[in-house]
Amino acid sequence: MTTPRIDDRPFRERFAEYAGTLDCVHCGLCLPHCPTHSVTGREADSPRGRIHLMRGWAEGRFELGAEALAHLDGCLVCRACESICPSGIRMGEMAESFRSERNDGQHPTPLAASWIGRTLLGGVLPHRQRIALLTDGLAMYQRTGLHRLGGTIARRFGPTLTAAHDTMPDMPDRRHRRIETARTRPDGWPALGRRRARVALFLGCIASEWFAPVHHATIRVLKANGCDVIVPDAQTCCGALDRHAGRLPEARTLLARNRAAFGEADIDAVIVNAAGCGASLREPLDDRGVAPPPFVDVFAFLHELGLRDPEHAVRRRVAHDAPCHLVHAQKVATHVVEDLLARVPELEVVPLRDAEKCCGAGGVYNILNPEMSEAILAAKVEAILESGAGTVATGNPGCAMQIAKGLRETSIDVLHPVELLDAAYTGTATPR
Amino acid sequence: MAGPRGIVDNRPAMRTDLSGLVPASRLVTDPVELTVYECDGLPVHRQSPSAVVIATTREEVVSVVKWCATQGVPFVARGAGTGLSGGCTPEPGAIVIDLNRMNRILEIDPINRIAVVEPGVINVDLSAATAAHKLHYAPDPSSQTACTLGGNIAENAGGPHCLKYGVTADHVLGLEVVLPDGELARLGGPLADRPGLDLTSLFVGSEGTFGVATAITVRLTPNPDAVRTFLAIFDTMGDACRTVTSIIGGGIVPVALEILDRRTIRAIEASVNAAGYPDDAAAALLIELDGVEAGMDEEENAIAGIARENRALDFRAARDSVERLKLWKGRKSAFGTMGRVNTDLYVLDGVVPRTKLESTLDRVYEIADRHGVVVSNVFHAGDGNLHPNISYDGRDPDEKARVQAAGREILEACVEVGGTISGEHGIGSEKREFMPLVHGPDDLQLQRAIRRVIDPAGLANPGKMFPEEASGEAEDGKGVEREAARAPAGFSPERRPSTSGERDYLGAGDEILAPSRVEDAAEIVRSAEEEGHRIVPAGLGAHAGEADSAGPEIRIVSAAAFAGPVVHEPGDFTIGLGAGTPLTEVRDLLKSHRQEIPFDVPLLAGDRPTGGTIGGLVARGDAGPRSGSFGGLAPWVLGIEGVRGEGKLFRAGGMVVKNVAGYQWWKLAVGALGRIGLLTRVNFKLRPRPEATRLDLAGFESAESAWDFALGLRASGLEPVALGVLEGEAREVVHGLGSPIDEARACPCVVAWAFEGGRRRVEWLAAEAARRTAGETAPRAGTDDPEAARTGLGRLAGFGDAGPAPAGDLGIVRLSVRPGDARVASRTTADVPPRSGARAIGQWTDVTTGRITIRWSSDEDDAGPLLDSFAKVAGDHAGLARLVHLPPALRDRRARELHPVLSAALARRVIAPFDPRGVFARDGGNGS
Repeated sequence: MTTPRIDDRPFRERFAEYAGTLDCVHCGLCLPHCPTHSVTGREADSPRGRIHLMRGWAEGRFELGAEALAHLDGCLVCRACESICPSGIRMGEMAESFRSERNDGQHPTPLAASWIGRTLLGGVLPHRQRIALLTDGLAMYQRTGLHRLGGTIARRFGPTLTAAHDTMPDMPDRRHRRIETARTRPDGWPALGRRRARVALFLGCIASEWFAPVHHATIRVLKANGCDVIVPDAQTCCGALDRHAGRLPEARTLLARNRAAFGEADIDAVIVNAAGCGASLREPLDDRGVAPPPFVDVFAFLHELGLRDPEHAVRRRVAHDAPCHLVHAQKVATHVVEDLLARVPELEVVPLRDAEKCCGAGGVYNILNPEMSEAILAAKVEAILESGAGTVATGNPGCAMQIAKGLRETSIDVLHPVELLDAAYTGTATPR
Repeated sequence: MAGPRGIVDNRPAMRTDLSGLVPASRLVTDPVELTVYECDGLPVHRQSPSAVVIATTREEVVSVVKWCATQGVPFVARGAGTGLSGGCTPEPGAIVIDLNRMNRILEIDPINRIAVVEPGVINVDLSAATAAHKLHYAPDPSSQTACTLGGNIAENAGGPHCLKYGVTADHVLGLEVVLPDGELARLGGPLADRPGLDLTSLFVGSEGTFGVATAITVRLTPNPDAVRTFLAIFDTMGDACRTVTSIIGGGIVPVALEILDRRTIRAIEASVNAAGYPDDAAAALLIELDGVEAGMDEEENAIAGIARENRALDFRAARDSVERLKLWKGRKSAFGTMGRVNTDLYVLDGVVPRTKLESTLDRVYEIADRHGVVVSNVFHAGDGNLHPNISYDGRDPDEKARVQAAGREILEACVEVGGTISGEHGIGSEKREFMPLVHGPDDLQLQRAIRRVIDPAGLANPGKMFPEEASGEAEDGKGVEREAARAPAGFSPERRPSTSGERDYLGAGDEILAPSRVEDAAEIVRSAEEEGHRIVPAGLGAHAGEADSAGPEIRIVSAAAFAGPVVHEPGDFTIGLGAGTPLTEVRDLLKSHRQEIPFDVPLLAGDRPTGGTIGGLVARGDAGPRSGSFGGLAPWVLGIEGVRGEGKLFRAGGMVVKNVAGYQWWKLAVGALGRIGLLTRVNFKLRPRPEATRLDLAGFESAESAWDFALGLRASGLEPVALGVLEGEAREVVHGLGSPIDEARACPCVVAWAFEGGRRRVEWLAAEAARRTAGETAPRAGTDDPEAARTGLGRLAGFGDAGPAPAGDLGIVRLSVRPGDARVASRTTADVPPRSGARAIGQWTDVTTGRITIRWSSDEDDAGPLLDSFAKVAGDHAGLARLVHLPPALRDRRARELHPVLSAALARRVIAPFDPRGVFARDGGNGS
């Protein structure tokens, strides 16, 4: 291939993480671990192929056309390749940096390019009031039965809207979907028994409403384990979706706001119960040097703290699906969560094939790339059915929505693992 | 872009054509996307394909290859692209047929211990799928979590555990291949006997130049009961290498012996696969034992002692399977971690005799220093297979040139000490120019000619394996003729007296030709061709009755004068033997070194050896009753020399235990019955002679109870090295081995089995076998005297061997069925009613391999129906039957093969380059 060099800029400048692409020695060990390559078998849908494309582009060997860009956008940034790569490839950073570079040029990423995407990312997610309004609206829409009609209409508008519509979970009951913050509850929730730690809870954007029951459960589990819990009010969206879309300046702004919101509190840890948010919050965005607040995943925290014995039995066969951004990005081993679940009386954790492989959610990937996402989800559903589980536990809202969509036709329910712990402390027979 | 073959790039038309064959989602034509296919794990050479087709079925592969054949478009198959020799890097203009989606496991057959898979199945996935049956696929290349079995076959891949279990070729039983013209061929299969040429072994390691495999039948290996892994740490590389030689020299063959040098250790310890190798060590040696628990303590103690004697700083066992897997994961990701050292990596693959490891490594470091390149070494020390990894920045043309110069020098250094240029990665595009280092011009031309007869249009992965042909070098063989061996001055070949068998069966005179110089042998071949004679290769005349040519135009040429060891390297466990060396001499010589080649010398009545030679053993391809547990004879043959058609001398393979430099064409000699030429020398891999050998027997009143017992033993996991059911005269095996055994002989059915290995292990195995079959009241006996046990095994081997002077009415037929069918088949053959003048007089059934050897006698015409019955039994079980020996009266009436030989026409094509004028051809034809 001897495509003439169109752009004479030195390749190191073309792409901030260019040097990262040089770590790849083409050994190919990543291929079977990549969810997209597993679907298509195309080399350009594998980490090795994508790195090859990014490197070739950065070195000016070729320009990237629509087809090649589609393969690069096809990366879920699940980062399973990072866990396997002997050379220590950092796909997350590479993809973010590459997409950011694209947004500055003529080929912005689809999410950054679309009006709806920009509105959602910039105009809704960082604002909890607007999320509350949206949620109330959606709840009304669902309660009145309009959503059935909406689903039919969405189908006529193509796969993206269909995917968005199908992925949306049932909005929680009004009583359960608001979390009080320090604005109305400055002292937070006090620990039960001997106090072992003082922690803050991170709410996230839509999760603050749509998954409010998980937050309530998290607070109860933390209390039961001797933690004072506070919820700082100034916190905002983690910026993970901005990162995926290569909107790094916007992501930096959000990260700064969160660091300010949690930085002032006198706390031992900021508990994050969404794996994707945790990964985003824990990873510096080039402002290294400033000590960040101690963001930590709820399970890593409880595992380290030492779980108090829950007393109530939870009679379920549970398959644990490890969120990619917990196991591959935050490097919280799958057994950490499973060790905790194993403490619940009568709860049975069954093995799940490919539990550390992506479910196809990928933030809003399932809406942007519905076809690929569905194919990845199908493999996940097959593994779940094979496991014989009655419940799937997964610690990330995006994954929970995606898997629930795949299991809609079955009787298998999808819960956050913290909800199972909560049931074991409170004795609630059925969480939610 | 016009390719070297004048191929015109016609992409739009290509896209239109191909999109008619596969859906758009599986067709790649975007030029930028195509660049991701420009290399495999060897980024030194790069070339984008014209298109990529991701095939999902055999039919798609056929249609694409046929299209290529029609259009004259070259093609290359690709699996996971983890190869390290540029094997799937396309030539200009070529398309890639990507097989990674053809990843179905078609069949797992635990009874017969085989699996049938598509080529895109990932190596480790097969073992995962067979784990429930306590079986696995043994070859384990370091990339096994990603690489595909199709790619393993193309390159004849190895891996750490090949030290004990052998390489890919030793585990592939059959192939379904799409030949370069798009025709489908089936080679080999699940049967232990593969009559005709062993094309399966030729196809394995052919680097995609013979077409595309679409289904693969592999052997599965029982999972070991126990595994122990040790890590020894050394201050110097020399100490580590000497530890390896001493362990094997001491008679212990671990399942793996791997060495990592300091730079490799540091790269691994910095990665996600950090394994706990101390990063200040000069060398780490990973040792693994597997098998039954009994006797392992002794081996562990011995190994620990050897490590201490060689100044190991530390020697420890992995505490549990978690630590063991970690040690292996670190080792197996060593290549990948090199990305931490520099941007590019060049992995070399030279092989040297094990005793030359230390001195060769010194040279490797010296060469790298001199060229100013960074080398790290991680290698299969037990096999002498080095992997110098040179890390460099490919963007610097000067550094790249220095890397290539250093690489060449390193490989030259390997060849200089008797090694070769590739042990398991293949030649590919990377080492093609180095091929003349290990092959003479004639042998290179022969291999090119084999390639041409299979792929006349040169479309299957062109530009691989062979150096570019110099212009003017003839394509039609004229260049070869120039180099033909010249008639030596004073040509007057020696003779030896003929045997009665040679006179009776072949009409020989009192003397036959027995040249002592290869030049003389070459002259004999040439003059035979000129005079229209045909040649039957012979040794000492032990198997004259097995030759299927006779008549006045036949000349017998004996290799008897090529006798004795040419070279024996006890420390390397290799030997080069004159083809005429008697088997007894080989056995006795090796015994004095406590070594062996795993064959049993066939014994006739009165325990007389047959007089067979090494050449005859290879030509017949039958190593006796233990062969089932050693994968037959082929894995032990490292190289051959001899004279082929037109009087050309040939040399194939070498003296190292791993060798993928070129086609594995020396494997063709095994079982070829002399069709490829007259063998003058055969090189073997040796194994330590087991400390103990034991033969046990039990007598049964009925065949049914004998089989219940035998199959129980086979399923026990104790893995006897031989296991047979003996009926009729075959029971004579037990004669004179002790009185209780003679009692067993009185029973109509006798089960015989053997164990071998360390004394403790054999004692335990025998006791365990006795314990597990305690309910059985059959009279039984055993001998732990190794000589007596081997006599018994030799008699079993002799049961299938007529010997030099057989009775005139003796016939021997050999049926081969899948082991799972052996019981029913052997019951049916035993029940074949005798005719007035023809009857079976005994049979022994090898329970492990499914081979049924039947001796029968016949006076005249009555043999026909008897043989038809045997053939029918084999056919009913999808098996094959072959006449090993038949009475002279019947010679001209029956073809040797009672069933059509698979791919006989293809075999004839492959033979042609060896023997263009048919001087070694047989009456029976059939490609055998």
